[in-house]
Amino acid sequence: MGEALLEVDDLHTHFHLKNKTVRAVNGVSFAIKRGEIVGIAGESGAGKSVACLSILRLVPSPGRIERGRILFTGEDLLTKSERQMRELRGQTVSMVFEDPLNSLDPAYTVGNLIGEALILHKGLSKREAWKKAGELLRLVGIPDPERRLDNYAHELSGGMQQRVMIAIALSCDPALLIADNPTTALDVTIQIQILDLVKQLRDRLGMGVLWITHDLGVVAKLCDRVVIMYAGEVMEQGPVYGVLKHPRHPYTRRLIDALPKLGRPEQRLMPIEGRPPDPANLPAGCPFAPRCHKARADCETTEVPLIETGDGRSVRCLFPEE
Amino acid sequence: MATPDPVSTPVLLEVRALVKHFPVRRGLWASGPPAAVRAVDGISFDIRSGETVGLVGESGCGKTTTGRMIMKLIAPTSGDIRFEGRSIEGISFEQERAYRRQVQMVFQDPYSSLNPRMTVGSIVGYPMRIQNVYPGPARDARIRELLELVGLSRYQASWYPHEFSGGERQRVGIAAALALNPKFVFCDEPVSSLDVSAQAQILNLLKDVRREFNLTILIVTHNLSVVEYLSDRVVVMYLGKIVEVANTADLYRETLHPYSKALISAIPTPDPDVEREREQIILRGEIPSPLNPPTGCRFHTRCQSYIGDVCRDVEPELREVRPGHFTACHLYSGLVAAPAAPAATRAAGQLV
Repeated sequence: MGEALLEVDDLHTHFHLKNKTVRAVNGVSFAIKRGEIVGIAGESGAGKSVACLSILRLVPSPGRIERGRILFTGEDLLTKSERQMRELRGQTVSMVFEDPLNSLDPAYTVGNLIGEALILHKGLSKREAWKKAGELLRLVGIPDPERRLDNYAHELSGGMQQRVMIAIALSCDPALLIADNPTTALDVTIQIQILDLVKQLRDRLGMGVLWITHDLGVVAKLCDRVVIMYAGEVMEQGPVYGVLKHPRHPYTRRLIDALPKLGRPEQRLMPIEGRPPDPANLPAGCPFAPRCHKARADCETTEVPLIETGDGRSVRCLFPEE
Repeated sequence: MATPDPVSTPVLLEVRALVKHFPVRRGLWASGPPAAVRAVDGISFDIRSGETVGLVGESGCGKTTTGRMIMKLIAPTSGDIRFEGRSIEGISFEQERAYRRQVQMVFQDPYSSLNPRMTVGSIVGYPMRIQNVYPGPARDARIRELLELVGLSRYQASWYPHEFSGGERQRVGIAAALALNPKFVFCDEPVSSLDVSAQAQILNLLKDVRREFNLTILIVTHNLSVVEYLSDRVVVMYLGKIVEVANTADLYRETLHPYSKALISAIPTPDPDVEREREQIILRGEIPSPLNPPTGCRFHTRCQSYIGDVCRDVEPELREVRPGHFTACHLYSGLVAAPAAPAATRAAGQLV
């Protein structure tokens, strides 16, 4: 693991609607080193996807990045022109989306879909691109890759489609791969194949990976570090083992306690009462305070900073667990 | 959770040699016999009264099709389903109406399974209207009682589904399923579209109502941690066949079938220590097409414990390997160990 590849610093992304402002991402900071797999975990509406779209500056209107810095290999992406961003997307930073069938153009064959980026970004000829596309399909573990190049997306299974998405994302040797819930639609035996593939590719190609998921189990299986998000803020982050084994933020603890755990069916699940706050009307203090067992009066009113607690971890809580 | 005593508890539902083939339309000039998706291909199991059975497997294994046949939403190609000893096929209209009163269903997607134009009260009251029970003011009282039972408040009866969160909608679905006091409830992936916290609430709710109503439940899911949490027994399916049946604890602690082992090892669990220590089985390839399932054992194309031609050629039978623990795998059938077995002889013959 080397120097920081990506540093997101105090990112705010808001959606300005007619009569309200939805604060989807509210001061998020994290970093990814080269060759590191970082997971962003949290429930739906936590702002995970918007944070990742912000990195590529793909936030749909009326969303806007209000504040913050996104340093990629030291350069701030927020100061780049749209043209420079287009150079970057799909080439040095690429993205895999949740639903492969909706992300793959049904009118093109797999060979054309993969070849497009190669011709566009790498200036390969059509023939060269086709050949490279075949190699990429082999790399992501698709059997009989040359024949598959002539297939359309709908002719492939869900797992195959997701492999094609990953092949497209890898086509230009990206330094950073961003994946938004890429395995939720897949069966578990296929999911574990994909997770294993991503680990192998990371080892071989040395890219950084940002993996968005709502499944802490996937985090435990795949990631080196994890960022736990809630209501647009980072609640806790650090190495996976420490965060999942000894969570310091009550939200992380509650999230883990709400999951059924293998081998312990007699342990009653502990759901988190209440609902996440309305992102258009966030509380002044800790956003989790209204649902938190350990909350005291201060929690509702004081803005809580993200505090480093040593061993590469940080937590946003006035009364963290030790 | 106490597992019902197998001897004294009567069997509520029997599934016998159940088959469902979906014919596939082929081109005008296609030759050969008509093709069919063999979604469920000869399965048998029992569900005892008061028991919760989990039916697990990956997409295309036939688990939902099985449930839908039990619900009489689709008709089996062959085989039999018996409820309280009587077949549910070929019964009169009145008998069918009575059957439908006793079996109910909780759907996967709480967003599309509730009519957006109906209030939650009328959704919960609908089964009672159809079956003409709880007439007049008793029905409204019953609706309020059901809503409170599932953790909603009685004044929410006049709300519409869009005013609820996903977890609350699933509560409405459960209230509607309980409206007729059924004996049997089929839950089709009841929590797969919910967030972690709502999922925990619904799982706890199902556990509670099961005890309160003495319900018999069949829960279909791909999530093995959910199954472990809720079920007394588990049936594992692969490509239209049952590969293993066992009490939940036995299935997870003494897994027999290689497919069940792979499935359990692939469940992500948030405990890093468990993740580090346990055996990681990564299956090769994908699930074959149910249009043309593999010969012999259907799992042999992906099996990590493939032991030879017998797997490819001979279909393993579901056998009781330990008391109450069934599996369909040649590893446990003795077919390989005995040299006189026909399959082994044939394999040797091919070598010569």
